[in-house]
Amino acid sequence: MRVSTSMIYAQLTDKLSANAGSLAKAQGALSSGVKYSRPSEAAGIVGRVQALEARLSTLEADVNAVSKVRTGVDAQSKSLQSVSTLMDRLKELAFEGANDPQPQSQLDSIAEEVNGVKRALVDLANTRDADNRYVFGGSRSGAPPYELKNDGTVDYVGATTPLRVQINDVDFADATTFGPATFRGVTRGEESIEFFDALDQFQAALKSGDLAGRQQALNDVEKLGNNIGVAVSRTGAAMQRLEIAEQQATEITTRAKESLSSLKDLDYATALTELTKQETLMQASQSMMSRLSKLSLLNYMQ
Amino acid sequence: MVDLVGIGVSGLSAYQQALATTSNNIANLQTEGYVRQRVSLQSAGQDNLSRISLGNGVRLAEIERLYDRFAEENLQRASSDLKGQETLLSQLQSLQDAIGSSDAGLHGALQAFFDSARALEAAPAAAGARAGFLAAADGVSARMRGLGGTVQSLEANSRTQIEQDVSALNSYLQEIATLNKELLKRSNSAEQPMQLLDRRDATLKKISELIGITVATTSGGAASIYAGDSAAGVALVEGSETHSVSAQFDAVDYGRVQFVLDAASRPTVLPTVRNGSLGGLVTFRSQSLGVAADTLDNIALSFGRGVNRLHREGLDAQGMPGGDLFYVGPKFTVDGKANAGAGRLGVEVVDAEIVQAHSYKMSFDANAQLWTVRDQSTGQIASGANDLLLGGLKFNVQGMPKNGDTFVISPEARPSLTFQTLVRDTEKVATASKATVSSAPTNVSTAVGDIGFGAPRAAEIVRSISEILPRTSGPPYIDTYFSKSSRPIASIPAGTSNVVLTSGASDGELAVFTRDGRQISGPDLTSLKSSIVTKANGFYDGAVYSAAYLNAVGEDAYLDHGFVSGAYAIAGSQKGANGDDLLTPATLIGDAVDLATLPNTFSLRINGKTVAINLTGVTSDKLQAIKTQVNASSATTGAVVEVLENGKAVTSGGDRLVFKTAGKAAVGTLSAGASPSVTINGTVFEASSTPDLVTAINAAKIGVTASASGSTLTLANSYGQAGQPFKVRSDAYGLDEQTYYSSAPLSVEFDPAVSSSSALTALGLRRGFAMADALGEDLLVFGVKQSAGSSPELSAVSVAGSYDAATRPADLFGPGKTPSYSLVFGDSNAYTLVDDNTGTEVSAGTFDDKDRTIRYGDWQVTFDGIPVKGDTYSITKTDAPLGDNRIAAAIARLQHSRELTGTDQTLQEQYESLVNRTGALTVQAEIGKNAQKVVFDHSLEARDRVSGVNLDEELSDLLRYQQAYQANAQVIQVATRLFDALMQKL
Repeated sequence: MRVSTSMIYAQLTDKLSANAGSLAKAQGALSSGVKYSRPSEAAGIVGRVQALEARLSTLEADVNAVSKVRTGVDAQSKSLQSVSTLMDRLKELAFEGANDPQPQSQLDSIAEEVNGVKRALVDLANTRDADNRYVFGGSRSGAPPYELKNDGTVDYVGATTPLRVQINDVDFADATTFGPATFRGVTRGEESIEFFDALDQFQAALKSGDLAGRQQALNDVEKLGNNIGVAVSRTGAAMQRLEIAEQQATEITTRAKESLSSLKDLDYATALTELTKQETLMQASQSMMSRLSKLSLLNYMQ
Repeated sequence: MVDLVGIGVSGLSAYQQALATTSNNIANLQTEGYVRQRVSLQSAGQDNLSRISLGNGVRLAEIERLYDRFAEENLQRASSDLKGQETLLSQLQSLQDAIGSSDAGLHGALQAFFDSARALEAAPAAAGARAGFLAAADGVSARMRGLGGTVQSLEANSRTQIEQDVSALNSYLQEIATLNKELLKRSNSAEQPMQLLDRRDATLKKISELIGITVATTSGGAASIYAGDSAAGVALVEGSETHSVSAQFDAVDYGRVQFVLDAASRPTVLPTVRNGSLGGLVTFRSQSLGVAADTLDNIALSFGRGVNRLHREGLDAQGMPGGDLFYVGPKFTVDGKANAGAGRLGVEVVDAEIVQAHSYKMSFDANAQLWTVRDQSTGQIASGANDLLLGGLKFNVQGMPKNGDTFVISPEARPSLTFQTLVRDTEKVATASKATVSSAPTNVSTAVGDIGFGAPRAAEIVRSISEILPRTSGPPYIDTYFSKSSRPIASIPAGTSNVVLTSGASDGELAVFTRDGRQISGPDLTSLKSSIVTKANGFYDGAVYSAAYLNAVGEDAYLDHGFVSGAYAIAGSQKGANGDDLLTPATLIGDAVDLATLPNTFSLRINGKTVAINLTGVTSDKLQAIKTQVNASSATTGAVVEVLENGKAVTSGGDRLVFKTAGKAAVGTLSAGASPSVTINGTVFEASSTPDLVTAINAAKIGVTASASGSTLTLANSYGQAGQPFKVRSDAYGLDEQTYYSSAPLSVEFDPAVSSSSALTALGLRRGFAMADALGEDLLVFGVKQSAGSSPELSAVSVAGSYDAATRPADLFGPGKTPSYSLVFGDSNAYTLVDDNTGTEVSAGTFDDKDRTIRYGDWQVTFDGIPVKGDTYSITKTDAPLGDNRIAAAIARLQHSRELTGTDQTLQEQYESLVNRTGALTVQAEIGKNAQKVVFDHSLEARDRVSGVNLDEELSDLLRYQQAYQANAQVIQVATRLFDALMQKL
C-alpha cells in the first residue's frame, strides 16, 4: 500500500498531540485532586455534580436552621423551668389564701407576693434567646409580647402564630411559640380566662377577701401550673425532634459527600498509573518520531 | 544505420522530463491539494526500412495526474462532516465551561441565595442575616448578568465566525467560478493545465470545510456546486456564475439563522445547513445557544418575579411595604422615525409580572381613529383610541398621529443581562408579611391561621366588558351583544372605573354580582340563586347568594361603595369649532312615559336622595305633576326634570321626561350707586333699576331667567334650558366673569324600599348599572327580563355603555390603608367574612376540613387545625414587622416551588436540565467528532494512496531516471566514439 510522506508525518503529529493532551490532563488532575479541570472535560457529569453540591449546601442550611431553632427552644425550656418554680410558689400561696378564716392583712400580704410572682412571670414570658428573639411572641418575635399596664393588668400583644422555620425539605419547627399557647389560661364552663387575668382575679379575690374567689383561685392556679407542665414537656419533645432532624441531616450529608466524591474526586492510584502510562506512551511516540524521521532514502544517496 | 545519437537524445530528453516531473513531485511534497504526477514513456517507434526492424528510441507519452475522483469527493465530504463536528464541539465546550462550572454557574448562586433566605428565616431581626441575604441577592444578580453576558458573547462570537466563514465562502465560490471560466475553454480534462485542476480541488475542499456541498463536474473539469447532499440542492456556483451567500440573524431568538442567496437581487433561503463549520455553528446556535439564552431568561424572569411578588407583599424593618428586590427587565425602545405624524409613543410597564421580552408593532388607522398594537411573538392584538394595554405594557401616544403611522417597539436587553438587585439597605429587606391573622384569645380551638397572598382566586373565565364594548373612552358604545340566557353577559374586571352600563332594550335589566355571590344591583334574584351562583357562571367555588346589599346605598351598600342601580349619565365636554369648550350637563332623556303601568305612588332615588312621588288624585297632566314634585327637591337632589313633547320643553301636556343636572344660579347684589347692568353670554343688559333689568332679561328669552328680590338679582336656567351653561359678568352686581354650570353626574334609581325597577321603565328610563370609583374585585353582569306579575328570569339582553379601562386595583394592605376583616365560624363549619371598616359581609361559605383554606380577593388564610363554632380570627395589617419571618420563609420556599418556572421544574432543576442537556450534546459531539476523525483519516489515506507524494518513491524514481539519463548519455558517447573510430579509419 502506498503511504504518502505527509500522511506518515500527519499521523505521527496527531498521535503526539493526543498524547500531550492526555498527559496534560493527567497532570492537571493530579495537581488539583479533581478528575477534571474544566466542566467540558466531564460534560456528562457536571450537572449531577452541581446538583449534589447544592444538596450538600441545603443540608448545611438544614443543620444551621436546626441550631437556630434549638436556640429558641432552649431559651423557652430554661424560662419555663423558672416559671414552673414560680408556679409551685403560687400554688402554695393559693393554698394559703384559700384558708378561712384569716385576717385581711394576711390576705393582703399574700396578694402582694402574688403580684411579685406575676411580675416575675411577665419578665419570664418576655424572655429573649441568643438570637434576640422573644421566644413567647410568636411570629412577632422582635418586640416584647407581654405588656404590663399601669393598672397592673397584662396584655398579650404578640402574634398568634409561631415563628416557623423550615428545618428540612418537608419539616418545619417553631423557633418561638406564641404566649397564650404556653401560658394557657383556664376555662370555667363556657368562659375562658387568660393566664394573667386568672392571676389578677386571684389577687383581687385576696384583696377583697372573697372566699369563693380564693377557692376558685386554688383551682385555677392548679390548672395553670398543669398547663405550664404541658408546655415544658412540649419543649422537651421539640428538642428531641430537633436532635433527630440534625442526625438525619448529618447522615444524608455523609452519603451525599460520598456520591460527590466518587463523581468528582480523583483516585490517586488510578491517576498515577494513568500518568505513568501516558508518559510511556509519549516517550514511545517521540522515539518513533525521531526514528522515522531518520529513515530516508536520502541517507543512502551519494 | 540506426541513429544511435537520435536514440540517445530521445532518451535524454524523455528522462530529463521524467526527472523534472519527479522533482516537481518532491518540491510539492507539502503543497495542499497537490496531485502527484507520473510520466509515462513510450517507445518512439521502429525503423521498418530493412527486414530487421530497430527501435527509434523513446518518447514521453504523457504526464499523468494521479487522481481518483471518488476518493477526492469522499475526502471533501469527510472534511465537511469533521469540520462541522469540530466546530460544534468547541462551541459546546465553551458553553458548558460557562454554565457547568460550580463557581461561575447559576446553580451555586441560587443555592447561596436560598440558603441565605433560610438564615434570614431563622433570625429575621438579625442585621447579619439581612446583610447576608442582600449579599447573596447581589451574588445571584451578578452571576445572572455574568452568565447572560457569557451567552451573549458566545452569540457574538459565533455570529462573527459565521460572518467570516460566509465571506470566505463567497470568495472561494468566486474563485471556483473564475477557475471554471478557464476550464470551460477545453472540453477534455486531460487537456487541462494540471495546476488549474489542483487549485479547483483545493478550493472545493476549503468550501466543504465551510459548508456541506455536492459537486458536479463537466468532462472538462468545470465544477458546479450545490448546497446539501445532492445536486438537486440550491446551486451556489453554476459554470462561471456564482450566487453570493449572506447570513441573517434574529435579535431575540439566537437559534434562528438563515442563509440567503442573492439577498440583494432574488433572495432564496438555503435549506438548513448541517455540515461544515457553518453547519456546526448553526447547529450550536439552534440546539444549544438559543435554548441556553431562553432558559437563562426564563430563570431570571421567574426567579426575579417570584421573589419580587413575595417581597412586595412584605414589610421591611421600618414597617414600609417591600418594593421589588430585583430589577427584572426588559426595557423597551420605540422606533417611529418613519412616521408622518407628530405622535410620540410612551411604553410603560404596568404589570411587571407578565411583561415578556417581545417585540410589538403599533399602527394608527385615522379613519377609525384607532390604534392597534400587535405582539409580534404571540400575535395578540389590542386596539383602542389610546392607552392600549397588552402583555403588561401600556402604550400611550401623545401628539397628533397621521394615518398609517407605525411604531416598532423592541425589547432592549435580555432579562438575564439586566438583572439587578434594587435593594441596598438591609433595613429595606422585607421579611415580615404585611398582614397578620390573630386568633381571638377566647377561641376554643387551637387552630392557627396563616395568611398568604397570591394571584386572585381561580374562577371560570367570563368575557370582560372590554370584549363586548371594545371602545373604552368616547361616547357610549352600543353593542347588540346577546348573552346565552343562563350565562353572564360579561365581567367587570377589578379596577375598572366610570362604568356606565344600560340595557340596550327597554324591557331588559342588568343584575350585578360579586364573584362571592353578593348581588349588588338589579331585581331580587333570590328565587334563581341556585341556577345563577354556580362555578360555571364565574362565581368562586363555594360562593353563597346574598341579597343583603342589593340596590343599597350609603352605609348599607356593599363595602359602602357608590353603585347606581338605574339610569346614570355624566356631563359632557367637547371642543367647539372655535376652540371653546362646549359643555353639556348630565342628561337622561326618557322614552315615552307609560301612564298605563305607572303606579300612583312610587319613590325615586335621584343622586342618592329619595324623592317620593304621589299621583293619587291626579287625573290629567301626570307628567307635569311628576315634574313639579321632583323639582321641589332640586335643591337637595341637584337635578331638575323637564317635560318634553316633540323634543321641546312644554309646561302642559308632554309625553316624556328629561332629567338633567341642575345648573348653578348667579346671585348678585347691586352696589350702591351703581347703574344696573349685566352681561349674559356676551349680550349686555342695562336698565335703570333691578326690576327693570329683570324684565329686560326675561323679555330677551336667551335661555336664562332673571328674578329679583330687592336689589338682589338671581339668574338661572330658563325652563327648557335646565343645566345649560351660561356666562355672566357684572361689575354692578359684583359678579366676576364666570360660567354657571354643574358637571356633576346624574343618577336616577328606583327606591327598592318602596317601588320596583318597573317604575323606571314606566318613566321611560333604562335600567342599568353604574359606578364611578373602581372596585377591588370583579363583578359579574347578567341579563334579566321580567314580565308584569311574574318572577324575573335570566335572559339575553343587549348592553350599551362606557367605562375606563381597568388598572391594577389598589393594594388593600398598602400604605394608608387600615384593612380589618373578621372571620367568624358558626355551626357546622359555616363561616362569614366581614369587612370591619364597612360592616359588609364580603364572603360566606363552608369551611373545608381538608383544604382548610378560606380565600378572598388576592389573599387566603390557611389553618393548621379546624376552628370550631364561635372561633373568631381577625385579619389586619402587621404592626410590628421586626422579628416576623413569614416573607423570608416564603422566599426560601421558592427553592422547591415547581409552579414558578412554568415547566414543572424548580429553578435549580431547570438550570440543571440545561447543564445536563448541554453536557449530553457535548458528549455526543465529542463522539461524533471522534467518529468523523476516523472517517476523515481513512478518506485522506485513500486519497493520498493515489494522489499523495511519497518521498522514498520519488527518490528512487529520481535515481532511476538519473541512471537512465546517464546511460543515454553513454549511448551518445558510444555513438560518438563509433563515429570517431570510423573517421580515423577513413
